[in-house]
This record gives sequence, structure tokens and C-alpha cells, in this order.
Amino acid sequence: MKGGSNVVIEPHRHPGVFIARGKEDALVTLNMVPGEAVYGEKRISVEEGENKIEYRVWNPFRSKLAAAILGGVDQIHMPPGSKVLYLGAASGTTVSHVSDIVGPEGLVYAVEFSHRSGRDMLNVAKKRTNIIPIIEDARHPHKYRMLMGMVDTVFADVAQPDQARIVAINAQHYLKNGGHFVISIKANCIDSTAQPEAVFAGEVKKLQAERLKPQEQLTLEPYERDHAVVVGVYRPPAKNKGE
Amino acid sequence: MDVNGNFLCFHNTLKLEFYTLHPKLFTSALTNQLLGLSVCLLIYLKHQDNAMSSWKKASKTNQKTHRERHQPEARAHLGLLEKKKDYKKRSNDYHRKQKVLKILRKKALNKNPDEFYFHMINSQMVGSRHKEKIKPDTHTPDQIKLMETKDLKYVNYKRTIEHKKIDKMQSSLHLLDSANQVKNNHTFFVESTDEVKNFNLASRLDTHPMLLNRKTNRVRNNDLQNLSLPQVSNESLEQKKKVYNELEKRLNREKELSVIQQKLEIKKFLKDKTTKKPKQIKPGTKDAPLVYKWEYKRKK
Ligand SMILES: C[S@@+](CC[C@H](N)C(=O)[O-])C[C@H]1O[C@@H](n2cnc3c(N)ncnc32)[C@H](O)[C@@H]1O
Repeated sequence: MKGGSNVVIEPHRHPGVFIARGKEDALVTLNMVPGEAVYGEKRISVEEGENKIEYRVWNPFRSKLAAAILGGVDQIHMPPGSKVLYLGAASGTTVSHVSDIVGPEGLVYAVEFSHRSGRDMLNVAKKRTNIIPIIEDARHPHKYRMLMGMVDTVFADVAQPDQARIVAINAQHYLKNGGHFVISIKANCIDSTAQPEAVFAGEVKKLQAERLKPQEQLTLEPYERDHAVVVGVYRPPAKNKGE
Repeated sequence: MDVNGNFLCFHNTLKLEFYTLHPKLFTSALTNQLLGLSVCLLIYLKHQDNAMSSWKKASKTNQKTHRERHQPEARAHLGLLEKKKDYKKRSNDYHRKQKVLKILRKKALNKNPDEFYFHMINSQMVGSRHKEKIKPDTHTPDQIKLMETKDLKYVNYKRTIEHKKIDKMQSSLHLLDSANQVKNNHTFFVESTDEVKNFNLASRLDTHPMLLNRKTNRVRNNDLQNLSLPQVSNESLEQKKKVYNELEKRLNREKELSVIQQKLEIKKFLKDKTTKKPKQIKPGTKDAPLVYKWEYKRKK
């Protein structure tokens, strides 16, 4: 091919995530089930040496996690092989990308309480063995204890006013000490009258009270307005003791 | 027998011969000759065209067709010689005009100078010509309301289409270059004031300082060393530019449509006479409608 290739895949800061450049201009993940789209998203095939590799486009206008990644978040704590508890999985669109990222060695526990969305998610999970679908209310984590193990990371996008508490009880049940949390906060889901910045600060306070220690906070422009993602660590081991 | 009164003689299989004669040509000399034939039927017919048409047509089969002559050279200075076809046109036109003139003359003679015609008030001189006055169309208030809602619905419809197209395009065009430029807030939580003082973003993110502005992908130092990316072709970049141009146009159009929609909606609400007249809070601009405040009334 003269003058270079049409699509170049650039590995992203976060392992498992890539950026397609050239003709494309998109965030992508490596498709774990090549040949199949999950929700009608575009797929990009790239020849690397002899074999073709397929990527799926991950729309940051639809997924808070994708928006955070493109917004420059430092950590998402979902390396390949890790176990993630995903609260508020909806139809499983973002979950499918997380499943791509953690890969066949990893696990995604996807919790969603709406049956309607849950049905779509079950279909996603059928094709992807590393997703464990759970149709339950995330406010009652003991209800799904039979399905769960300890996890490395809790991701939450439930868009509920008591989201901090939901994350906290799930962390108490299933997050290992020193594990991480990534939560997306939609300002007007918590308090539609207050300034977004104030809402984010309030949520951070609530998290701290639950021993969920925030490390960074990121707003999601230009993909979302008045949204933030907070990343932090749960019950970090005391620093001074070991030293 | 044809128009010229020629004799025709047909020898059919029955050896029957018919002679038809024009009265003028029914001369004794000829008849004497004809009567000399053995089987002879003499038919005298009155000159009747319709009864003769089949003969007429048949006769034309071996008639030579004469073309109209053209202008003789000697008269060439007079121009082209008019043919019958042209003459008919000219003549019909002339007679039509004559008829019109005749009618007009008659009307002028019959005219009553005191009579009133509506046309006197329904038409008007524009320049040097009479023109009908155009009367405005009238509508009932209900019709107007319906037409306006139709406009609003059409704008809504167009906007939805645009919105869907944009959504579709944006699902795989992630505006990475502009995302690098749009500001967002990134807060890091640290333990002590010391840490705040010594905070270094590049080392915190474990990346090269040059990449700090490239927030869509600030590759880690370790990965930077093994990173080797192939060249991107120029055509593909052209292609990308094209689709981004289209996206931009669509975004602008959608914005425009949304302003129109809001303006039409405000207009519709202002028409509502059942509520108290609202107060204007902000004047309208090119990209925002007027803002009105209605008195709040509890419905129930
Ligand atoms: C904003 S959507 C999540 C979208 C999804 N993360 C994505 O990016 O595709 C929030 C979802 O959380 C679910 N949800 C809300 N409260 C919940 C709860 N208490 N337990 C489980 N799911 C909940 C809602 O049904 C909804 O589908």
C-alpha cells in the first residue's frame, strides 16, 4: 500500500483499550467474539501480519467509562485478568467493552435491576463467558452472594441519589481491601438544583465517610455535561505500619 | 371518376366493365364508342362526392403527386414563395383578428358610459398596463392555528432526522482532536500540603510531559519505548476530514433547527388568549428565542 495504511491502531494508556486513527477516529476495544457486534456498533478489522484482528468501536457519547478514558483519567483499574463488579449494567453495552478489556481471564459481574434491560444483558452474556449477569437490586448485595466472589474493582453507574451508599455496601461485601472503585456521578440525579461542582464535592464526602478514599475526579466534557467520574481506593492498607 | 372528370376503366375478373361518366363529358361521340362494346353496362351517376370517395381514393394511387413550385429564379428578388401551408396560417390569423375587431367595435358602439363594472375597482394600472389587484387569502383562526402547528411539526421532524444522523455519525467519530482541546476538570486528591507543593502531573500520570495536552491517550513511559506506529496514508486523512466536515454542517443545522423550533413554540404559546399576557424577560436573538414569563397558575 502506498503512503501508509488507512487505519492505524494505537494502544491506549489503559491496557485492553485502543484508538483507531487514520480513516477512523475512534476509541475501540479488541473484540473478544470476532465477527459479532453486541448492540449494532461498528467493527474495524485490521490485518496484522497474517491474521486479522477485529476491534469494536466504543462510543464515548453513550458510555461514561469511555468518556472518562478519553478525558484523560489516570486509572480505570481494569487490567486484563481482573475481576470487576459493574453496578447498573443496563443493556450491557458498556459491560461488553469492559468484558473485552478484562479479557477471557477476567470476570465482570454485571448487576442490573430492571428486567427489561436485564434481558438484553443476558443475551450479551450468552456470547461472552466472562460476564456473569445478575438481575437484582444493587441495594441488597447479599441477595446475589451465591454468584459472587471477591472483586478487584467496583464500577458504578446506577444514576441514583443514594449511589454512594450503594457502592459502599457492595464494597463491604465484595471489594477486597485495597481494591478500587470507579463511579460515574450525574449531577442532576443527585440534586438537580445545586451546582454540579457542589454535588460532586458532596458525593466525595459521602464516599470518604464509607472508607472509600477518592484519588481523582474528572468531568466528562465534551462528551457529557455535568457528569464526573471519581476513582479511588477502598480501605487502603495503612501506610506507616509496613514501613 | 375523379375530380377532373377523367375516365376510368377497370377490367375485373368478371370482365364486367363499368363506366361512370361526368354529365359534362357524356358526349355523343364517346357514347357511340362505348356502346360498341359487347357486354357493357352504362351507369350514369349524378355527381356525388361521398358516393364516389372510394373511386377517388383508388384513382389517386397512380396519380402523380405534384409538389408546389418554388420561387422562379427570375422572381427570386421577391423572396421565398409562400406555400399553401403558410398561407393558411396567415389567413386564419387574419380572420381571427378581424372577428375580434368586429366584436370590439360592436361593444364600443353599445357601451354605456354611465355603467359600473367591478373591474374598474378590481384592477389597477401598473406602469402602463392594467393588472388585477391581488386579494389576500383569508383564513379562519382555526386554519391559521393548524398551519402553524404544521410548520412546527415539520421543523420538529427535520430536527429529529438531523439528530439521528448526527448520533449515527458520532457513534464512530469521537472528535478526538477537539476533545484534546476542550477543557475539563481533573482533580487529584492528595494526602498532605507537601504533596500539593511538589505535585508534578507528568510524573503522577507516569507519562512524557509532551503528552500532557494529549489527554485522549497519554501513553505511559514504559509503553512509549516499545511504541511503533505505522504511517497513516494521506487519502485516509482526507476521507476523515470530509466526514468531519459533514458532521459539522449537520451539527450547525440541528442547532439552527432547534432555535427555529423554540421560536415557533413561543409564538404558539403567545397566541393562547386564555392565560394572562406573559412578561417578556429577554429579547430574542439570532440563536435564542425571546424569553417570556407566564404567571404560574395551579391547574388543580
Ligand atoms: C445510566 S444507566 C447505566 C448505563 C450503562 N452503564 C452504560 O453505560 O451502558 C443506569 C442503570 O442503572 C440501573 N439501576 C438503577 N438503580 C439500580 C439498582 N438499585 N440496582 C441495580 N441497577 C440499578 C438502571 O436500571 C439503569 O439501567
